Amino acid sequence: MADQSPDPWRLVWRSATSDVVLVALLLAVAASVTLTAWIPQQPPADEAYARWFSEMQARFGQATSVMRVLGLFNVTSSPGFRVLLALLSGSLLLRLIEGVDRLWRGYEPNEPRGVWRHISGQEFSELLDGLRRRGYRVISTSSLFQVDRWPWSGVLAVLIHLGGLLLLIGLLLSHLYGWQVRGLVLQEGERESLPGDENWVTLRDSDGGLRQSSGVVAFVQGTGPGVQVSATNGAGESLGLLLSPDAEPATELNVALTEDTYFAIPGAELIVHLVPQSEDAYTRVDVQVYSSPTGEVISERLTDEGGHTAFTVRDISLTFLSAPYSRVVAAHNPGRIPAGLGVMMLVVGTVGGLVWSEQCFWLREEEAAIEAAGSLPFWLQPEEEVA
Amino acid sequence: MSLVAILVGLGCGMLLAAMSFGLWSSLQEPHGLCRGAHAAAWAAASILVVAALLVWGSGLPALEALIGVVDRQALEGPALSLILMAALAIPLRLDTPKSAPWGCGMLYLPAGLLASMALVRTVASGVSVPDADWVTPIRFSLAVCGGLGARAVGRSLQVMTGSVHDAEWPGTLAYGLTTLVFGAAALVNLWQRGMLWMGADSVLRGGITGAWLAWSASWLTPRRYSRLRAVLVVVAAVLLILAAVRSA
Repeated sequence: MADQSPDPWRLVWRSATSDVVLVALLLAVAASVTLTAWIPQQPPADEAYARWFSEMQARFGQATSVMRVLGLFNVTSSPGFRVLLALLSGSLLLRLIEGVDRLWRGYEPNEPRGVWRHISGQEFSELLDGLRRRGYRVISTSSLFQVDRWPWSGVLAVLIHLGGLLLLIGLLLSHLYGWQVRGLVLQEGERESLPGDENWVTLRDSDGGLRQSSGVVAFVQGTGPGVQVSATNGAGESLGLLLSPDAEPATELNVALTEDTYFAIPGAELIVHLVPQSEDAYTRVDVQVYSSPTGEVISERLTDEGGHTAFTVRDISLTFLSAPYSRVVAAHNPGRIPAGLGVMMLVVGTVGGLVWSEQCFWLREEEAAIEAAGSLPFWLQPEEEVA
Repeated sequence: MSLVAILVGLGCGMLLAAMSFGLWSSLQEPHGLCRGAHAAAWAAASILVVAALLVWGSGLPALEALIGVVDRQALEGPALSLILMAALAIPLRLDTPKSAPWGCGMLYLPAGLLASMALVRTVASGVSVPDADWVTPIRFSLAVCGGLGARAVGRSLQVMTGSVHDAEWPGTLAYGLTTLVFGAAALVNLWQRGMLWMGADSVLRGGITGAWLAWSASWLTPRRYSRLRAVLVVVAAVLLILAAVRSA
């Protein structure tokens, strides 16, 4: 009879779903992700790039250019990493299909795999009883016994593969349609528009908590000093305050003191310079008042602890109230639900798999000796392998 | 010198004795010295657990009142993690086969190294400012995972040198716990911050993810490649330990 050449598609399928391929892919992704832990990655914002690059040159010296060419500063955005994730997704998908198929046909005993090896030290019937007590399923065929963890081994394997796939889908959706905005500076009652049609975030007056439009997740990353300023003239009339030349005058000005800040009181020809003493939310603020346009300093004082003060300069009463700002990060992630489900499935599947290890092996009795093939549990290793 | 430094020093000495007994037992018959090594390891573990309770307990609100009065020595963050990991890395069950050529000394090597590093950092950080941000649930969990991982490293070293066939439960426990920590941190981030790992520092993010993936690869590797599995466990555990002691 002529030799039948193996079906190439079957060979491709077996390779793609093999443990070796998945192990290699996991190790490649692990190595890439680990690199990001110890090699600082390029910041997304252009304005931060120059500073970051000079820091890298100071840290890595001549090697910086080589590392940049190799893509070590941009690992997770590199085409190579994306190809790895795509291959991993493909492998997980094929393994998932295979796992579901195996689950469907699960009642059928499989053909024994691997080399038959002797195990000794036990009676065959005692061994089978012991396996059943440990929660293994033992199926008897004509000449041998198949021992496995059915159905848990199959269900948990499907959970792990589905979880990994959902996690990767979540990451893809997040990358394609998600966004994040960092460093938003908000004071109480202030509302900021976000990318997208009607997305916004606001800092509530009542408790300083955040409110945001649906689909947006926002959190406070830190706080800093800020003041609320108002000015009145001798007649008690409120004066307009200008934070920048092109701004509309406001009678009450909220200033987030992320850095030294100036504002003008055009009606009184005064310029006010505010310098926070520290980055604490309730720090003292140094207030300098200049005459405009001469630039002469006509008053200088420090606010109370917390930023409160009130004083009069040239018949103008200035009132400062504390109004700390919050530095807010907002994100929109359409992949949040699949990623969350994926993580849960991965955790349940992996931890469950550790408890109910996926093992399938075969036992037979040959001339009063017990032989085993397949993936044996560690407590059932053959004597010759242990020695 | 602080009480913690004295305890860590004692623990280090006991571990050194355990390793010496273990190595000596590989050259001598019978293996009675291996039992001596085991006893020394028990003593080291007890001492280091007390030291770990002192340094972590004084930073945890629930234990502050109880432990804070004993020793308020300020320690830098990595020393805290190293002490806890060293305490957890000591195997307390002696199941090394008598045929093991390297004896049981190999089991105590990771714990000995961690305890030595902890001693150096404890003595060196005597006047440093305590890192208040270090005592967090994620740092504590990571130190526990790293400690159990180090215990798995000891067993894996035995596998790599051919002393035992397979490293099973310490690695399984560390991998399971790392999976739970990794998953919980990811879910909390997704829920509270909208993105996986948003806001987490790069060392924690990359270290835990890399370790978990390497451990998963080890778990998937067929059992017949026990040395390869052991090498991957060592890689994963070292990544966990580095992530646990490295500050942002």
